[in-house]
Amino acid sequence: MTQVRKKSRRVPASSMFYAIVLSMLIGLVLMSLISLNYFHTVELESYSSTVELIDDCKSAQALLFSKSKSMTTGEWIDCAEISDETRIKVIDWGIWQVGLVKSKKRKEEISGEFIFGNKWSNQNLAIQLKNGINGLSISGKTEITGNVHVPGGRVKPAFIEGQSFNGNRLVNGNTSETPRKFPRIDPAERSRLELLENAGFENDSIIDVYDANALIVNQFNNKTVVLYASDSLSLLDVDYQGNIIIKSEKAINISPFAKLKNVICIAPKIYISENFKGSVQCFATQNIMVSQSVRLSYPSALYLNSENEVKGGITIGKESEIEGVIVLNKVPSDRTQKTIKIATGVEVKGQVYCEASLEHRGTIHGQIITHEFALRTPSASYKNYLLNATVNVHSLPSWFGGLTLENETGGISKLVDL
Amino acid sequence: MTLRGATLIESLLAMAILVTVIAIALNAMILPSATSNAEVRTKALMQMDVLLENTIKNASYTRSETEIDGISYTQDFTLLQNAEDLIRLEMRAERNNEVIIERSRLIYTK
Repeated sequence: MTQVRKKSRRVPASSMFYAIVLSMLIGLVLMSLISLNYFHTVELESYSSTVELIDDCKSAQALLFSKSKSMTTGEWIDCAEISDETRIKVIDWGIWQVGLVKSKKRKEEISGEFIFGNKWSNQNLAIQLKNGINGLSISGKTEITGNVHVPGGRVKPAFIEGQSFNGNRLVNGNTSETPRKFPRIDPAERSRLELLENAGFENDSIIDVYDANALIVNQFNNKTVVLYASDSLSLLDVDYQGNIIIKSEKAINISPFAKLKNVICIAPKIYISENFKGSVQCFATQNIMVSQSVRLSYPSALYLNSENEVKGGITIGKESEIEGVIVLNKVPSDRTQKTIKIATGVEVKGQVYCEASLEHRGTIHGQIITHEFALRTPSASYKNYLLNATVNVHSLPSWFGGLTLENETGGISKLVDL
Repeated sequence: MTLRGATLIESLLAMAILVTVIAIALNAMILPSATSNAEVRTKALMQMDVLLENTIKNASYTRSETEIDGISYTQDFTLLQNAEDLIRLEMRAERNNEVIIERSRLIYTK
């Protein structure tokens, strides 16, 4: 009997190793696919949650605009209308205000800082002139776009300095009698700005300017940093941004190498050197002098609050650009002592408010409110004349915010995110 | 060294192949649907931002319904009590009668 030998299949033992490695590889691929799916879902949830927080912050911003005039500055307020963990705060920052919003959900928190201002109620008013019997005379290439309020309700062409008026229309807008009451800066704002100029900054962090770092970035969420100098101060190679006030008891000289963003400068005299670029609010009591080719971006301010009889004012050199407000306020009884001088080629986007005389030879995209115009040439001086000047209220962006004038109900202007 | 009868190895291999096939099939079913849901939600969120921006820009605060790429967007407005210049906007994105996202925003109208 033949024994049939059963043929056995033999597989090398290393096959087991290969099988296990293969299984692990497959497992890894599957794990990565499942993880991918999981993280994708987590990522989307986080994105949705961030969107929700951003929505809450935007809502808080709207609520802040609505409540800003009745809110106490410097205090956090809960916004139950939005969520349990959304809060708002308003801080006065020179001419403008800073809004802070904060929203929290689980471990995630989003906050925002922005500057906002007052929107003018009369968006069509280009010029309001208080003084003068003969109205306003214009000559050369003068262009006025927007409504004009002048004494006597008259704007007339004139021939001065060998130039006659050569435009098509005297005013591209309506001309009417100036209201009897000259618009004044809102008393609350006026006293707030005076307080700022004379403040002792007891609650802020006061640093001697010579001990300070050359680079300071301070958020509005923190205490204000006050850089103080008892003597004249030159800002050379420094970089200061945000919640910073620079104060000198004598004068501040800002060099073109200084980087300033959203800071406030307070001194009796302030000089801004040629080619400086930045955004700064200057508050002075004697003189503000801006050299040529300076660019002050929005929101900037040149604010002179000057009761003394010393001759002075605000001077803006050729080819400079100012975005914000220029104010000559609270002048002495002899108004001729104080002037705002805007040189040829200067562009101002914003508001010029002058309680004395304004010598305007540049372009203003915005509004002028002044007691009188002055024009001084080598041969003569003229009162209430404009020569080769431009004023266009309609070329000012609608979001522009500026000074709060008495009885204004213009609401809130749009903001600059910080 | 050899193993007699490859039952164990074959079982392991067979199991691995079977698990792979099932897993790939499951992934093929679940992943695209999850990915597609995520894509739809992301798209809806972005579309809502565009609609919201238009609403604020045009200051048109009336109820509106829009359908874009199979997703319907609804915007409802309610005046906030004690505030004349504030409006609450409720936004909803739906697909096949199923709510994908709901958002709420206060708008300053002055």
